[in-house]
Amino acid sequence: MSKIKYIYNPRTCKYEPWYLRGKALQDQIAIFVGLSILLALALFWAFTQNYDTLDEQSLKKENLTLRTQWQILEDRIHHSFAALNILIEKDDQNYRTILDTEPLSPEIRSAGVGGSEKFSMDEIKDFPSLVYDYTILEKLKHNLAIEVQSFEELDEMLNDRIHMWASRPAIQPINNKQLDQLHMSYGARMHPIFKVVKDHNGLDFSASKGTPVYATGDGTVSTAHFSESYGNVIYINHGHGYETRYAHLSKIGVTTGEKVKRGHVIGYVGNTGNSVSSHLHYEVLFKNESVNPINFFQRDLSNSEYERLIEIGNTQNKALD
Amino acid sequence: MSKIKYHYNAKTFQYEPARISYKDILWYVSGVLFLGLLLFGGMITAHDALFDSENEKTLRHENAVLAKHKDLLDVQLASIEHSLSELENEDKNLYTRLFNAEPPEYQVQEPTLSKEEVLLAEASDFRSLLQELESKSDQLKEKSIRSNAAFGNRIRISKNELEEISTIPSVQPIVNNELNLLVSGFGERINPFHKGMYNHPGIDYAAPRGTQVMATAPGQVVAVNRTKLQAGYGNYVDINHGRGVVTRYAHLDRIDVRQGQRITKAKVIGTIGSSGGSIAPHLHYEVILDGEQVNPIPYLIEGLSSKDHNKLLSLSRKQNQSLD
Repeated sequence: MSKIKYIYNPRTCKYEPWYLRGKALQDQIAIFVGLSILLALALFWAFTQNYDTLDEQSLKKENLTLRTQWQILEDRIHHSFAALNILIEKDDQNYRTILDTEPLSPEIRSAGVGGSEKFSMDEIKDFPSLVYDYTILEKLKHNLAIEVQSFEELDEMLNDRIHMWASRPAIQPINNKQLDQLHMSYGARMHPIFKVVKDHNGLDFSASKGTPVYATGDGTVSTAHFSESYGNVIYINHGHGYETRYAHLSKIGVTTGEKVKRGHVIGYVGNTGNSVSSHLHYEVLFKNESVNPINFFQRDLSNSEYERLIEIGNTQNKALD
Repeated sequence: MSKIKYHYNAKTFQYEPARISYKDILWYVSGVLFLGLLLFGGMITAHDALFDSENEKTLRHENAVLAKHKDLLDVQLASIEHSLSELENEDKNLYTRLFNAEPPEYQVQEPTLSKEEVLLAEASDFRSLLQELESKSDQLKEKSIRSNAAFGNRIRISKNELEEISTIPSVQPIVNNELNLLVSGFGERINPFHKGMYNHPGIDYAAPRGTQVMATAPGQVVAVNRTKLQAGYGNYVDINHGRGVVTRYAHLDRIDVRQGQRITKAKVIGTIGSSGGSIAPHLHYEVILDGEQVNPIPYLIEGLSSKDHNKLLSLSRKQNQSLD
């Protein structure tokens, strides 16, 4: 384009070379740049109308990821909530029923749940869904804490019960194998020595001298001594109102204050005290009143099962004391 | 600038008016385009760098908050989930100690294979299968109509037989709609006191103290026993239904019937308690046939679908601890 341009000068009647310069040049440049700017502006306007800015695009992408992750957390909250509710239901409906106590009252369960004010002050106040999730989370934490406590309570109650069940007289003090005869008489009967009608408060197990006598429940030996009427006698306090007595023993195998387990050998059958033949006189007392011991041992236990229980009692005894 | 411009044409030795060529226009336009795009690019970058739109500000803020609280929430949730799983273990532990048996696993029901097979089956196979089934069911229907008619003609229940049917203790002694109250069955079970295996001569329903207990068949109350002794059956009621069938309801809290009273089926006879040798409020229910305890479950034929009956049966077979 280096061709030189000419213009016709009518005054000189000549063609004179013409150069773009001065104002003309400025105008030309201005038009060129102006057009470019106009184009750029038009494009920019169209872009901003129809598309997000680059920053926005990347922010939105990030936002979507974060929201998805948040959703997963929300799901976890709801999942935990459901799991906790199952436990609460088991607590109220199963365990408390079985353990014979009232379920936790709704007041206790809901006590002290704060509102959402706690969160409205800081940065999340602009995000109602976050505030909501935190409120749910707080409630979950609160319910969980109460349930943990409740389970501790249940655990304690059950420990107590298990201890009670273990300490209750529940087996026969003598193995069936070594039993000659069980005198089932309980209550008024003729005394074999004094020949008068006396209250007989126990059961008599006839067995040969030296037959082992087992503790019928867990407990503490309250006395083990010799008395005129009972001969060598052991009293075991089982707690929860129960006491058992084992009389006419030939030998006492425990000392006062000793802790015994069910099935532990505490002495041997004998003929001491007011007794006409070798036998064990066994009494069960509940709240200091004598009850028929027949109610406190299972007669349908097989021998092997009985021996297994004795075994358990003895091994436990060794392991624990 | 309306002055006409000329070019000197060296071939013709003449000045000719200069025309604006296409080439010139093309150059000019592409120049404008190039500069325009350059400026546009510059504008966008500058705009991003210099200005934050309202939208961007909100997004930026939200992202920052989400990112921060996501981690915070995660930590809190992790600790919650941890103590929750501990609690679940404790739950299993409690159950095991109470019943001396593993807790039942609550499995997520998976679609059965047969259903999948049906879904996957070829459409043509499926259609032929359906046709086959249809014809079979038609045949059966016809057959049943005929046999029903025959059966209906022959059926004559004598008064005697009706009486016999009514002596069957055929309903459950407590309302057990969800079938979840039966906790221990008939036969060898663990004794809760000495933990040895013994013969458990009835079935145990665990329910809250005060739940109503109902007679399972019409009959006469032949025994009402009240005792404070923490052993044996506790407060119990025996009902004689005739023909050697007696039912026993033990460990009651309250007894609402008298000795010798005649009662109808489903009459409330008392409430659940924990009297006698019992470790929890429950009903110990026995069916005694000619003086011998038998499994009461097979008698429960009224008001239960065979599916429900099977469920009770499987519950009663569980080898666990009785409540005595």
